[in-house]
Amino acid sequence: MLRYVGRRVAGLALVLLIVLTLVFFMLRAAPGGPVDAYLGMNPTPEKRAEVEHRFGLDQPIWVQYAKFLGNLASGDLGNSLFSDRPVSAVIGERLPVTLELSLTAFLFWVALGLVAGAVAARRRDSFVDGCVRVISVVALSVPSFWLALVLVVVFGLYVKGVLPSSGWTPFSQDPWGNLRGVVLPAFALGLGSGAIIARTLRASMIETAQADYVSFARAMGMSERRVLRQITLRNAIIPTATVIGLMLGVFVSGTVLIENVFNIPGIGQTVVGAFTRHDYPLAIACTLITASVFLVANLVVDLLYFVLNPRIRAGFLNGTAR
Amino acid sequence: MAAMTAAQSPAGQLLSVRDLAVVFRTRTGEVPAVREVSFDLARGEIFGLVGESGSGKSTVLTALTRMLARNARITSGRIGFDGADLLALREPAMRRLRGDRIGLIPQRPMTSLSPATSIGRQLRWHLDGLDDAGRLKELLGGVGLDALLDRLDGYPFEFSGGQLQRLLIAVAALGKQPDLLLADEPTTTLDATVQAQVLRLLLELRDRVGSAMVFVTHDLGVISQISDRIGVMYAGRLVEVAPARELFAAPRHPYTRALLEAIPVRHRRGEPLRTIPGTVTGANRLSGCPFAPRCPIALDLCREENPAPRETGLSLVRCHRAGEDL
Repeated sequence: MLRYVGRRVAGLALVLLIVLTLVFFMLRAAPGGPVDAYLGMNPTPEKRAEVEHRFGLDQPIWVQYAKFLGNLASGDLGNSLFSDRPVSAVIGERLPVTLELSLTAFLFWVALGLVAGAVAARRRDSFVDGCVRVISVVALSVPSFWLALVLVVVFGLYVKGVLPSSGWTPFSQDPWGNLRGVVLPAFALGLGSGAIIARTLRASMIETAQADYVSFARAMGMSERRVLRQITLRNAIIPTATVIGLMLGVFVSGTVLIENVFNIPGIGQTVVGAFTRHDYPLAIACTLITASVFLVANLVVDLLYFVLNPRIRAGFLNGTAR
Repeated sequence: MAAMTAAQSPAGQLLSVRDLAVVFRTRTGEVPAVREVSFDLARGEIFGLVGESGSGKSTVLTALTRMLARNARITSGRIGFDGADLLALREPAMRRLRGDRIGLIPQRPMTSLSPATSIGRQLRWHLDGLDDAGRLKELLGGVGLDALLDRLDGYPFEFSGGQLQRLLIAVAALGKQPDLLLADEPTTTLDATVQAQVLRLLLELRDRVGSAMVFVTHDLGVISQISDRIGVMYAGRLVEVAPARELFAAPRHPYTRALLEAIPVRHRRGEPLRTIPGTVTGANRLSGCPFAPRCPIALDLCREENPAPRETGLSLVRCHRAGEDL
């Protein structure tokens, strides 16, 4: 088990290196550059050369890459080309904001999705089930950027003072204000994922309910309650866990859009600025952190799957799985 | 149905099914799956229910536990079980009977235990007092699974079909010791050798525990080995009921006869296998005898009117021509 985790972590580091290398070269291959963004219109050639030298861009690209790798190995991500602040400080400031948003949305929507799915499956074809099915289809069809904009407009223009629709209040400053501020962006961030989770659980519970092992347990006089808890849910949660794992990506990458619409100073907002201004170090750092969060979360889900599904566990212990 | 009842005295019967009818709702309307099925079962007796797929034999069994699919409905009949009418019971009362007094041995042992929970825990779900090591040993030993004692933390997929079927039998028959055991083709998914072992085990348990059994199968060989009496189903109707030996020695219904003639071992080498001409399709909806379209001796009467059961020798036959010397 420990060896498995060790191997996964090593694989994870390799994936990160590949991602960072790709981003490194793609940034430099993109038209324009930090010098233009930094100096504005028509700079003198001397001025240009000076800034290029300061950013280290006058060196051959392979040298730049080698330097980048060296710094990365020593944990130095460099300074932002524009604010000249250490990139790690910027990330340290913005990451908690994004994590709070993502995590709140994730927990809320996973919980709501699971409860809605379970209730709908239990009361199949009832009014509640109909509601869950209709609402989830609508939720799936609504693009999150549109939903985010509508929420901003509605709560910013028409229903004022109920919930803040823009900006961010740090938790340390005003805990209550902070929590109220998370509500709308978290809602918009995970609506679609919540719907998918609900639908997946509902479908797999209905499928499980027709399984031979459910009939046998009933035929042995097991109560509906216990069948539901110990058998149906227990088995239906396995495919649902896979889907929840896939949804993790949405909760991480979705923040780019949501933070920009709701004007939230998190990684998602930073990353857009960093890429448009060709702020190489900051862009790379944002990529690193986003990819890490995603990969670690995925690893956690895989390990959870391992706990949930005895088949995978047995296959692994027998050495038939990787 | 008076004749059916007269054949055996209903007093002292454990199970008495009368005029049971089940319909399935389908896209093309309601399809009668079981019609006018009546039979009795004494304590400790094994009643074999044989018929081809779709003949309604499994539906009868499921109706006895009142666990029919959502689109199925019992439209009439009475299921007397030890003095109570099962069809009149409320669901909680019915649930208390399941397992404890009416047990089930399922058709597919490989998929009848939850794949996500260890078998030891699942045994404990269904049976009390298993924390006592002696009781557990006795239970597993009773079905020849002593080797599983130290593998109880294993999951269903780690065991063979034969082992799982024995385990299910240990729970449903030996552990619960029900008055009535329903076996739904419990050997069809097993190898021939394992099949024989499981049949022997069931017979042995009947003698030890004393459960009566309704045993459903499409395999005449299996049913001849295990049953005291046999009911033959065709298109939702019970066409013949007879003691096992009588049924094989003197089949009365044309369908039973055709069925026995189709058994390969009764043929000489090189002779083509005999089949029953025609198909069963649509027979469920016929108002006359369901077998009439395929019957070599059918009369006009057969197509118009479904025959009432007639006592013929030791058998009870639903055939207008039963008793005739043909």
